[in-house]
Amino acid sequence: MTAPLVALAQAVWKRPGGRAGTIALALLALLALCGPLVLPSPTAQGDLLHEALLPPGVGHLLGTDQLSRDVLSRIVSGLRLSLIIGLASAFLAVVLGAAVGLIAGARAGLVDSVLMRMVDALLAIPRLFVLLLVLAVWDRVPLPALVLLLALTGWYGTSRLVRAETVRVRSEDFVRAAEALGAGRLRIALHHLLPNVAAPIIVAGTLGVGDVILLEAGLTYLGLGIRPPTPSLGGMVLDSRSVFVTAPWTSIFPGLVIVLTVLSVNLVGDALREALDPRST
Amino acid sequence: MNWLARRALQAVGTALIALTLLFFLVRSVPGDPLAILSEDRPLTSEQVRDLQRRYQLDQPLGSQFVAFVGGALQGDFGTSIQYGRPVRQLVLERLPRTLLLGAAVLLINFTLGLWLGVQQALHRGRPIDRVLTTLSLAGYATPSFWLGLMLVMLFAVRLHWLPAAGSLDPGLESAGVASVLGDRLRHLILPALTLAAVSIASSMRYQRAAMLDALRQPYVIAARARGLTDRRVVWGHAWRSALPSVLTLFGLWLPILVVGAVFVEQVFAWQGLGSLTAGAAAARDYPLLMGTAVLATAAVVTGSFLSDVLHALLDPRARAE
Repeated sequence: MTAPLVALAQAVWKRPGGRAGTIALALLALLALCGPLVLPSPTAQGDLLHEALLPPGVGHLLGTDQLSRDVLSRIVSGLRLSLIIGLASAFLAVVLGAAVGLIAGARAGLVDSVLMRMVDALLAIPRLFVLLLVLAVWDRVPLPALVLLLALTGWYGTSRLVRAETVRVRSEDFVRAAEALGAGRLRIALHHLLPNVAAPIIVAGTLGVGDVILLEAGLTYLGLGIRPPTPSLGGMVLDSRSVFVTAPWTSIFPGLVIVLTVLSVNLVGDALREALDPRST
Repeated sequence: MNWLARRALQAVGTALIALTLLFFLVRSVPGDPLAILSEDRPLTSEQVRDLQRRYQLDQPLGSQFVAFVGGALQGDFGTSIQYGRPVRQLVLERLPRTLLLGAAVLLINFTLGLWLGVQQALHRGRPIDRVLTTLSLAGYATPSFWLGLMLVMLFAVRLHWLPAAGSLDPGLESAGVASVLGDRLRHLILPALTLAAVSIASSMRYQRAAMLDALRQPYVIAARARGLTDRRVVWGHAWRSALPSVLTLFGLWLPILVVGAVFVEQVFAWQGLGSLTAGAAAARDYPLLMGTAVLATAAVVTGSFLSDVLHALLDPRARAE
């Protein structure tokens, strides 16, 4: 089981994009984990009169915001939250998508048509609008619920991909052989089908992390995701709108960190896709 | 039944299921819409009953559902809480601006985007291909609301080249056609560039893949063997045969625009459907939000239907599937 994963990791590392993405992600994760140990508290306020909107300098590497809070500390906290939300939501979404895709592909017939018609309809409603509708009613949504909502709106595409792969693999000889030997449905699905449809699951899961991070930042920017005083990257850009002309550092750096994080994740995702499906290049 | 009728029926079915899902989604969310309407002030039981009657919340779920679908099919979503005007009227007012922005982005993505994709395919694996791939991925990873702010900072605040927001200078309302048109275009540049920058990656990728595929085909190799110029081979043979599948991108482009417009229009105070949606979300204007969500869904279903029809017209093989 581990040998293919090691080979996959090596294949990603061999590609320049995959290597750059991996290194950048490792550095960002390190920053998110260790930053809080050395940085001031992201919610600590200094002297509002003399320490608000300080430009980047020795005391505050990336300056301070209008409430005299350290921008770097807030970025690190926001980054950690973004990574947690991205990883958790994308993981849940991909598990859900894989389960639905496997069931639809393995069962075929009525179950398959009903599930896929449903997925068609779900794909037709833009994800952002579903989230806006839910969050507009659900005031102050708790973080676990936000993670769950992002997962529940992010699995449709994966289920389609997994279903297509499952249908392809289902008619292969080794599956027929397992059926002839009397293997149960669940055993066939988990032991024979799942390992052979893993490629789209891995790729969709990785790219899903970047999508979730962007979406969460966007929702927070619109005032609906993470609420102050919890530091978040999207929230920092929102807060900086009133001061970004005189204090550009309050908006430049949080945005750059979003770009860097999502780009790194997607570079890794792309390298995975190329490694798993040589036809795609 | 022929292909077109079947595909149209499927689109209608998808739209109806999506409407049903939207209706039940809203009713399964924890939270009290009446509390939002009253801005959390305590209501008398009389007021509650009045509001329930006005928004038909006193009806059984079944008749609420029938009323919702019936209203949606006629474009009737009730009255906006924020504006106190019919949702349909607000949407129709804002639609032209969003279409203008969308047309501009479409133009950029389908000219520059496709051209860049072709160049990437022709220089596959070389530095220019790598750089363009990374750049387009970076665009895809950029939050449009942040990119918009950065462009405003550079081109409006620092350089004073372009206006920062709005869609027309206030003083120009009674000016001549030419100056109004010119000013509109100046206001359009930054929002259109922002939205194009974050969405051009999909056009480039799709064209690159389709072109690589086409360049491998025997007739392209045969055309080269016949000694045709590079230009004829690339654009006359390979690109043209890749066109039908590239045109299906049209369906992909609509959802990108619909979602992207929410953020970009909000940043640039562009008075279209996107900023209407962003404002409705911030103000918890439920009927308005539902109206734009249904419209966005309709746009996605129509876009994918149209791109399938277009594909089938250009490539008869697609009709056989």
